[in-house]
This record gives sequence, structure tokens and C-alpha cells, in this order.
Amino acid sequence: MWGAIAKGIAWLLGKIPKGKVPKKIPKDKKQKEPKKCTTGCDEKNPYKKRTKEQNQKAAESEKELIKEHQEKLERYSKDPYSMDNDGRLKNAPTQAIRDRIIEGRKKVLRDAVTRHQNELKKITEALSSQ
Amino acid sequence: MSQLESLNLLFLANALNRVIEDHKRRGEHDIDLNALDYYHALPADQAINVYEEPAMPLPIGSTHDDISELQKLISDPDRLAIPHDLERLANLMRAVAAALDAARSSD
Repeated sequence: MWGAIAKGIAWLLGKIPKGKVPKKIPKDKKQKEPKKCTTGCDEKNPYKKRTKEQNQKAAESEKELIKEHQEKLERYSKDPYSMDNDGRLKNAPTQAIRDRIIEGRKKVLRDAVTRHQNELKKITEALSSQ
Repeated sequence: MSQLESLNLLFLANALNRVIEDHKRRGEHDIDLNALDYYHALPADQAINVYEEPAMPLPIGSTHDDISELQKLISDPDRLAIPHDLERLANLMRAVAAALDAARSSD
């Protein structure tokens, strides 16, 4: 009995070579085969699947976005009230809450710069092999 | 779906379309987000990590920023959408939900 259990576990874990797997698998247990991919399928960098021209344009866009976000972060750090669109910073009940909002906002703006820098790295990497 | 194995993104598109159509039928076409700029923007990786408390202070997102960044993405065919764009959409939908809820409770 234990042998059967061990076989069952090994089968579930996929440790038994294909030839020894029971041929009849109930229809509802059959796993769908993943869709076959033809090019660049093992790449985690989606830019490698695109044309050089597309990536060159995307790189320019990312550079522009990095610059925009850096400027926005700088502007916000100097004067947070200049971007207080709904007045909730000015009207915050206490200075501690106001400080928390400002720090939280800076965090998001810094993350945006990093995110676009990371995208640019991926594009540059893809371009280097094109 | 008894067992959640994977989520086809088309499901999101269909569900979103259905929900938006229902709101439009009720005459809810434009949502005023002027009074709802800032919100707590818990990053996706922290939101799904239920074993740890989010780092403080919580990041503060801006619906104005989200709209502006999504507009840039829409108008730039050479840029690839990234997972964060889904977060921007989700944040906007949450703000819209908050605005609609507030409008209904004041009726």
C-alpha cells in the first residue's frame, strides 16, 4: 500500500518519468498545454521582442519621463503647496499629518523616477543586442 | 471558477466594461475628482505581503498624476505599458468609487 502511495506522491510531484505515468488521465484532470511561443519566449525583457526603431523611440520617451519626474520631485520638495491640487495639504488638521503627506508624496515621486530608470535600463539592454 | 489558477486579462477588460456600462446607463458619465487628488498608494508588492506591516509613512499618490501619466501612455504608441500602469488604473477606479459613494450618500 505504501508503495502505491509513494508512487502516487512521486507522480504528483512529477518525479516519475513520462513513460511510467498512467496513460489514461481523466479529461477534467488534464492540464492545458501552455500556448507555444515562437520568438523571444524565454526573455524577461519585453523590449527584446520589439524593433530597434520602436525601442529607440521608447528610450527617448523614458528619458523625457525621467527628466519630468525628477523636475517634479525637485519642485515638490521646494514647494509642496504648489501641487496641492485639492487643498488637502493646506487644510490638514495637524503639522504631523502635513509632514506625513509630504514624505509620502516624495516617496511616490522618487519611486516614479526609479521605475522609469529601470525601464530605460531594459530598453538599453535590448538595444545593445539589436 | 472554483479554483483560481490564472486570470486572463480579458476578464478584467470584460468586467470593467460591464461595470462602466452600468454606471453610464445610470447617467454617471463624468466623475469629479477635483476634491480627490491625494490617496494612500500602497505599492502592489507591499499590498500583497500580508505578513508585514507596510513601511511608514505610506506613499501618497495623486489622481491628477495618474490621469496625466495614463494620458501620456495613451498618446505614445512607442511606449510599453508596465505593471505600474495597472496600479494607476486601479487607484483611479478606487478614487472614482469613493466619489460615487460620496455622491450617493449625500443624495
